[in-house]
Amino acid sequence: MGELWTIATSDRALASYKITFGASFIAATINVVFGTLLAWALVRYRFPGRGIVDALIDVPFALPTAVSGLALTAVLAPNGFIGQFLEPLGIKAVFSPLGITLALVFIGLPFVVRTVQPVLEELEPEVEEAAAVLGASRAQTLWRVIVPPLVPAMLTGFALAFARAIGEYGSVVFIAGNKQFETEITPLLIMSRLEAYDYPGATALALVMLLVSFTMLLAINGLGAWTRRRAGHIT
Amino acid sequence: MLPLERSIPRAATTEPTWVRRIIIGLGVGFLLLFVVVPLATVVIAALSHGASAYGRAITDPHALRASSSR
Repeated sequence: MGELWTIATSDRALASYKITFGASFIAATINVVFGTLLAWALVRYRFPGRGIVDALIDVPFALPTAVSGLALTAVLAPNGFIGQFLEPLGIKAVFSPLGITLALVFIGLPFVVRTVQPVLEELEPEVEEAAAVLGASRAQTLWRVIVPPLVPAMLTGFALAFARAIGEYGSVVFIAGNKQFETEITPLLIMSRLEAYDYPGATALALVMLLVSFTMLLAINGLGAWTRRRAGHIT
Repeated sequence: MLPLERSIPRAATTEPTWVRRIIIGLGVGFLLLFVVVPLATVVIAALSHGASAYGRAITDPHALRASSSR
């Protein structure tokens, strides 16, 4: 037991938790912002190429993670399509925490769009018209009528993207560079424990991830229930 | 009467054109950068040695064996 604790709280493990949970949190947050924006544009506006955009949302689901990892690494590498512009700015997008975060943003986007989209579609325009008739400005309608029922869906999308990001392996290992203490994610650390036939060590790390994920999901669900109750009071 | 009926609901339940353009632009731009560019890279890299090399690679006995269920 004491040995497990030593493994789970070693400096290397702690550094990997920091990078795994930190990058996942940032990525899920970015996903909520742009995912909600995309869902809004897809549901509310008609523009050329809308059908293609709607179909492209699911690409991260369909692409094998190893393929997306290699593709993102190729794009963000100093000689890559996007990387060539980041290099002169001194931004290191591969083999860095930034690269890990970008890969997780790619992986998590569909979760937010696909949870927010149906809720937006269900919102009745009559409620917005009523708000406008009662003298609300568009900003007030947006903030007090549209956002409250949307928040639980955004939280669910966040939780899904976050949970997926924590466990993500295939798309991250190529872009991360896997330097100890810097860009080594916990799933990779578990993998290296397993390769050393250190099953108790791997399980100790897995248990920590499980506990943290479970606590965070519980907190997010609690927050969702609270916002739903609040939304219920408003309407 | 009529112009009033038409103008109020439209302005009240949608955004001005420039706001719509910015939202669509941000969303589509994000998608282009994060999904379309990597996807295009994969396709271009796969075909970089020509269509015949691509055909050889996917009909390679090892690839066929690995992608069949038997």
